Amino acid sequence: MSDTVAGTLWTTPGQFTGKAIKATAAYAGIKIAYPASYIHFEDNYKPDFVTKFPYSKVPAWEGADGFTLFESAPIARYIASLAPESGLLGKTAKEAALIDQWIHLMEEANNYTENIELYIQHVLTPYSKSSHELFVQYQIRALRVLNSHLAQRTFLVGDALTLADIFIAALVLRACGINIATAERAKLPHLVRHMEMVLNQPVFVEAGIFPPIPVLDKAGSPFLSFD
Amino acid sequence: MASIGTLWTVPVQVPGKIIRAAAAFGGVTIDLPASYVHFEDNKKPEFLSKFPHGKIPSFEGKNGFKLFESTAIARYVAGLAPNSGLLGKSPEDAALIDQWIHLAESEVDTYTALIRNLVNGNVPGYTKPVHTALLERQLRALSTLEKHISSRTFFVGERITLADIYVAGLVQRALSVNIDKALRPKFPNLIRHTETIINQPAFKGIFEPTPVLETAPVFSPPKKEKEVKPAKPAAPPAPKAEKPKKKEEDDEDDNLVPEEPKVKNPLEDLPKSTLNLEDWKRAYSNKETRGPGGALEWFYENYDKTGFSVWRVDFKYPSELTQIFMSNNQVGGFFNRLEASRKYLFGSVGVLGEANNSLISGALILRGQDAEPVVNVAPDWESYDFKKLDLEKAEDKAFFEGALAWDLEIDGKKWADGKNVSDLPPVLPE
Repeated sequence: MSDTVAGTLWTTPGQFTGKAIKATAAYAGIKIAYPASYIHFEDNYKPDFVTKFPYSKVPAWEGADGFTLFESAPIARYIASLAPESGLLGKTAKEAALIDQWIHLMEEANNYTENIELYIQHVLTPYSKSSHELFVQYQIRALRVLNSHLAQRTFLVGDALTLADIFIAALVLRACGINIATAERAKLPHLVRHMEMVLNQPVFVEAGIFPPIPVLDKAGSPFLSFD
Repeated sequence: MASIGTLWTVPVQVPGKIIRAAAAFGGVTIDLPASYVHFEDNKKPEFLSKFPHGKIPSFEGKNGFKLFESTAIARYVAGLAPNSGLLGKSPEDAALIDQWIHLAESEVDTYTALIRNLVNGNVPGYTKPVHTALLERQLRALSTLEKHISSRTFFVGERITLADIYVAGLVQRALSVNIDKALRPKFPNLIRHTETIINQPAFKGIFEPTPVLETAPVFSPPKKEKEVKPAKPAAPPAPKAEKPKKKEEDDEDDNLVPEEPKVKNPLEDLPKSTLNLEDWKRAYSNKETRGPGGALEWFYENYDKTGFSVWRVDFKYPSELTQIFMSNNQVGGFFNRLEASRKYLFGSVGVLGEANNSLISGALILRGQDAEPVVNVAPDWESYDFKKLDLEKAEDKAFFEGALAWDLEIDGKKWADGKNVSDLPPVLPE
């Protein structure tokens, strides 16, 4: 890995898109730093953060050269572009487009994962069972497309790991902690196999980027009590 | 320039317009389909084998390259014209273009779509607090965009990039959905930018003039008789295509396409009946059940035994039943799960007896002569026995009337509580 720090990444420990960016940097051999201290919901509204990142959200990136960027997939794509030999963005324009395609589809599914999580955690209130079920329906629909695509493939695009694999694995892992439980995983076997393959890449394991795949017996429910 | 391929989209689809504009700007020729009917053609095997997600926009290159997802296509098309500057001149430019597109898509347009679909009832679960929360997020992102463009002509650098086209397209959409006269004054620079972009000569014929929305549509809860329209699997595609333009645009890029095309419901093909079930439900609600001028009298006068049939329904496992209110909830749940068949079904089902010594029984009035097609929308339908009733037989008639009048008695067990299909609350609680 290069010794020069390419930039600083603001994220939070539980943020899965942040993990995807870290994994991208690790795979690409790009060294990144983290802020000495960062308290989310506080520091991101302070003037020195807002001047750099006007939307006040994380993940956010500040290059060593002063270049600032926010939005998860754009940051990941940019970091990958700093190491073209990594192959993370494919070998051709078409491969790059397909990588885009799968990431975009996963982001759609992740949107629903997020809404489902907000219902389960009673953040989105009042609760609506019919809209919860609709979100699950849409999320599963997108995950099924990914699952089918992986039935005969190891990687999403081409024959080597790309940014699409990292992004999809990270966000499927997230969903595995929310509503993709044992029963759902059994119906998405190729997606689960793919996720395990990606998360177990030695470079990710060494860097300790991803948490273990959680055991989830049943999809989270707003009616379960939380400590 | 020879066409690079075909873009499946429909004229009103906003991401489709953005891709077409990018192509036009970059001097890239793309074909639109000779004929494409959304909600029909995209469910056919030839479409799905190319584009497994079944959505538009979808792109098929002349050489067979297939791509879906709007931003992926837009970026790919823009990349075919590197001199256009649409993707900037450096990795940093490209990243910033990505950033603004991503922000506009995920933090503005996602909410524009959700607000529209909740307010118009396409997606269930509307409540004012949720609407307000979504609006706040959408406005927050629009404000970030507004601030950035207030001192600039273009989002990245000094020329048009894909970011400008994307932001303009999605802002224009927000302006036609919910950013009304009251909200417009918050975004003068964004509106200036949108108008500049969509009126570029290169984009002639692609974008409509930006409407000025007087007031954002408000949610109105559905009437009890009317069915709320969530994206049900059984919804046939044809009616959606007939709806006004705005709705069509919305459905196409808003992921409201039902997951699997269900086999057409045989109940739709039955010859018209003289009995209107909604009229019956109204009569049942408004009149006393028994007695002269009552609902039963109305029923016998209007019943069409060819078009409808009457059934006895019994829960198969009465020994499982404990508290009356819990069993009653079970009936309510069963009726909830029959929601998709609401227009083919009337029910009056009750819990008879006492705690730990009860049963569930009642009567259904169903469209057609067969119970299964109507009730199998409920996954637990097989927990119940269905027996067709013959109203010419005194015994069956008495049972039917007892169920409707809520005074049914079976084996000494008296009616304790019950449910009617027509007194279900609407799907959207207020």
